[in-house]
Amino acid sequence: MPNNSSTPAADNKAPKETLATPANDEVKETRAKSELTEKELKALAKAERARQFKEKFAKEGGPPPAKFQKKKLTKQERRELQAANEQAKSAASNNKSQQQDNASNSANQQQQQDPLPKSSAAAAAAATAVAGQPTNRMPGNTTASVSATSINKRGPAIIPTQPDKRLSIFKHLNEPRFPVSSLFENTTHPDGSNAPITASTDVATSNSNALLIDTSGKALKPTHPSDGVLASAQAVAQGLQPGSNLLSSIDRSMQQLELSTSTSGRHHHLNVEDSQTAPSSGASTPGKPTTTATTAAADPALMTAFIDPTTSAPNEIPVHPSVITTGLKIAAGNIVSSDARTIAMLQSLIDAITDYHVPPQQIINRHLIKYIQVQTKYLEQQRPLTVGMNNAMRWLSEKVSKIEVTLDEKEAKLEMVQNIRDYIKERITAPRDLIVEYGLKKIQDGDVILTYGGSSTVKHLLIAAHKSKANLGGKRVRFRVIVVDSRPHWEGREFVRSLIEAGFTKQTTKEAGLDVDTNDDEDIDFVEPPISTTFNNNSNKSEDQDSSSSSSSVGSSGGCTGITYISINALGYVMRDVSKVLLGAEAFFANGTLLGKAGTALVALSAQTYRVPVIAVCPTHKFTSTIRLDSVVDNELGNPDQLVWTPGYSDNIPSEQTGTTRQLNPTSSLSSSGGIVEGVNFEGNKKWAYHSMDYSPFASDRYSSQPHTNNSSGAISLDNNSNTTNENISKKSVNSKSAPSVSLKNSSRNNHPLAKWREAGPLKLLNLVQDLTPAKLISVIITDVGLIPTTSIPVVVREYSI
Amino acid sequence: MPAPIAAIRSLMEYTKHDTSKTIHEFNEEAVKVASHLKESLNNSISISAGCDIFMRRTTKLALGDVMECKQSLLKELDEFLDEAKDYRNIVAKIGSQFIRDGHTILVHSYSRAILSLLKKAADQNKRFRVYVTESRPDCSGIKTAQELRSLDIPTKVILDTAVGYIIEKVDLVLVGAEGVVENGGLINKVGTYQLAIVAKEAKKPLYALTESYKFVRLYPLNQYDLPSTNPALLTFEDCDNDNDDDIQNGASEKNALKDTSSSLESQIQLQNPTLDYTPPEYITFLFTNLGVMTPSGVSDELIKFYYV
Repeated sequence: MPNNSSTPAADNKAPKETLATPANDEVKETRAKSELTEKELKALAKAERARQFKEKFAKEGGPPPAKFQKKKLTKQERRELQAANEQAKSAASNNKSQQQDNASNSANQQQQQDPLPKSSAAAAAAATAVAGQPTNRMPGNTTASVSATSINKRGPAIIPTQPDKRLSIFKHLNEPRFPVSSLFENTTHPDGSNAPITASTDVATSNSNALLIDTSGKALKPTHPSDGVLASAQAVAQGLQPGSNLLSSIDRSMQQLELSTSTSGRHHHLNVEDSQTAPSSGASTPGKPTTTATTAAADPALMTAFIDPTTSAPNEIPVHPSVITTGLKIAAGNIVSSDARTIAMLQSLIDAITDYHVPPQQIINRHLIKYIQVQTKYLEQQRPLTVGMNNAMRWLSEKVSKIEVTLDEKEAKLEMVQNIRDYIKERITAPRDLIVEYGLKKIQDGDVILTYGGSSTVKHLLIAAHKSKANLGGKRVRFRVIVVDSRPHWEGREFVRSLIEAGFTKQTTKEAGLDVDTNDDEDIDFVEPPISTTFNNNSNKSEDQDSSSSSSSVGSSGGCTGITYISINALGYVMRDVSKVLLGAEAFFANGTLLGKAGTALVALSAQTYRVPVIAVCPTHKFTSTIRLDSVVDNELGNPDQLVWTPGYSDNIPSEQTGTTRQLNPTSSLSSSGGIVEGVNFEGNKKWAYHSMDYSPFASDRYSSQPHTNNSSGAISLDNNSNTTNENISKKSVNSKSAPSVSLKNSSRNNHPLAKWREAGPLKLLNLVQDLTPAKLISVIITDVGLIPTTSIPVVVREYSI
Repeated sequence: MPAPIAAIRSLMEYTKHDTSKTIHEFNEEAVKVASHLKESLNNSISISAGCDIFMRRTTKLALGDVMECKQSLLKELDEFLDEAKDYRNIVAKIGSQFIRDGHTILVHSYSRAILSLLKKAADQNKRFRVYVTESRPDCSGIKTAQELRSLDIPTKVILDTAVGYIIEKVDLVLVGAEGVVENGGLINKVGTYQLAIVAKEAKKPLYALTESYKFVRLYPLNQYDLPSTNPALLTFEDCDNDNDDDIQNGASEKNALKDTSSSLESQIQLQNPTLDYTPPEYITFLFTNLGVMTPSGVSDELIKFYYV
């Protein structure tokens, strides 16, 4: 994150920051004066910045911030230089290795740039973008100096990191530099070429512009792709109220900005991306705050920004607004599952291709590939593409390259669009239905199915199993679902919610604490699950019973008879009751390894320990012929702050309090499942959890519409329960609702023990998003070509030439 | 005649008498007949393997004149059946290489493939001893023992419960298969699974003998995952059925069982599965007419055969 990473660049900051604003103005002027092409403008801006950069550096006195910083620098310079030298040495020793640390890299760069920064305008601009992010926020002299000091103060705390010892992936943690610079080249899209955006032309300027709005303290509420940015922008504005403790408030607000943007995005590059694209679009419509990425991208300015490629410079291929929409949605976490991301990508590409025109003197199959690559590259910057997306892209480029030259443009486009639609249908949606069909045969009466994360395929399968009457000769299979969830994304909550919304509640709205096992009949003899005595009250049968009874003694008639929601910590407790584990997959590698949400391997290992069959569901379009051996070499990195303080954190506290009493009480725990959703984190503290979610960047789009809360259905409410244990629980939960809600106001992340982990010295946080599950732990993969063992993936890949 | 072959033959017979006017109609009718065939038997697994082969061939039929297509189908299947006759010999030939002079072999239940393999090995002048499990409830192990004795192979019958006792003396374990499922696991006479567990624990190799027409498109995850549409598959089968005439040795025992079971049955619920499922990790190799393969090879073959 910037405050970490920018430390070596601290000495450059103040000058650059002050020059950013005039540069911006000047760019605007030039643009107003002459109608230059986008590219020229950009080049001009870069050159201008480079020039001023040079000037400011050459000057001794400079404006007050520079002065101020000079003083500080005299003290710090030696330290910094020393550190830089050390880093340079270590870098030299690691020479050529890919793991060369970015910090040392940039330190070297600075040393070179110090005397003569004419090296490259792009590098300087990139540095500006990075360094500018924190500092640009305060365009005034005083604030700028404050920010400079704050950075300097933070500086030494970061320096102790040992760059040479870090893994290559760790550099990501602290270094948004590369992504930023790469973004810098590619973020021209929002303002396009001649778009009527008043804001700015490129990253640095748009950034400073947005922060001007913030710091001026006006009631301008820029439009943001995610309201996390909005909230933090407001926080910035508040933090800069005169008389407040500037240093800390800036510090905090900056971290908040990072946090909110990055929690929404999970990935480092996009933090910067978010905060850059957002203000620029916001500046164009400064009226009301809109919340979702959709609106941001549907913004007319953005739409006009998409200029017909035939009119713009031949080499500039713009990113289509629909692709931007998709990209931002993916970055903001609105589209999470890998299937959904693939579909969204392909659909946005349909839009992009529909609006595509072949430039004069270009051949469609050559140029269209380039065009599509630009779109894909944009998406990749938002979040790394999944295997499924990569497969789709490979397929698509092959299709494009095979377009017959004789076809005219319109026909070719139509054909491509149809091809993509077919792909979505044949490779993604239809396989899902097939998987559901195959999977239904594997869900048997009495099963206790454990699932982890929020796989959409698993969700479809469970819902189908719940509704299916095919098995048992018209009788519905009875099964229970245990949803295992984990920090930091708590995807299982959404999963549980969609299960309930799909009607899982309807069977058990009249449930109650039934302590006697009522299904001693013959037909479950040979499939008798180990759990049937433990979870007795959930497995009543016969539909007529259900319809006739409104009393409290009737359970379900079939389908899913109960959902248990647990945190992954409780895995060992429930696993002995589980009869099948259902896992979603992001990809399968040729050696049978499953790529899944981090924690999947843990669940599979636990299942293996208890000899529970592990069923993975994965359509073949997510198979790949590559292999991966461990999850460290290649992984997606989440934001480390999510480990420290997340919206999910605050609801851990009360759930620990009440949850332990519930969970460890043998009579009131799983056996006395009050509602369809029983569990620790979800039920008793539901209100609290949702309330605390208001802090989330997802607040309005993911959790704002609260599902069935207390009164609507007994499904997730404890209030309908009649027996004593549950009354106790509900009392407890009531208490817990009131008590922590008071502390909620104070329990911001500052109270968190790791809140200031960046200043805590050598502490590093690693938030891995995915992990690999070895092939041995998986009993079967349900795919659209049938049920196959993990060993058969190479065969499938080969025979189907995936 | 092995069950899958019988299934194919009966479906071929049906094809000859079929009066469908289009290929599509014929296909639909064939599906119905096949499912009827599966349902009419207690043990549907090996039947369904044969039906699957037949159905695979029918769906591959080119559209055209019905009679011609049927003729070509029948011709194709005839060729297949001719070929299949030899499968067991191929298995025996391949498998006999694994038996060495002086080996002690543990055999479960009755399997014609095992018998022909042992015969082959004996013909190669290899000297070996065989332990055969009694294999209740139908005591088919005794039948095996009798046939082996007629081949002059030293044979001893042991109790199913004595597998753990005898395993130390054994060099390798041979089992047959009712069906081989997609992950390479076996469906076989009950007792195979526990035998496999014991063998694995004792680090003795377990080889399964099977012809490739026994590969069946099933993927059980546990014992209860076998197709349960036919509950008779896993329900109690009376011990006192006395249709098995060729078991003399076990007769007295069976009578004793008859007494106890009749008295017990009223009081105790008995469960008597006839088949069990052995997961692939317990199987060292499968001897098939396609060669010696690991369990995962079965899946590869099935994918090649059915999907492509």
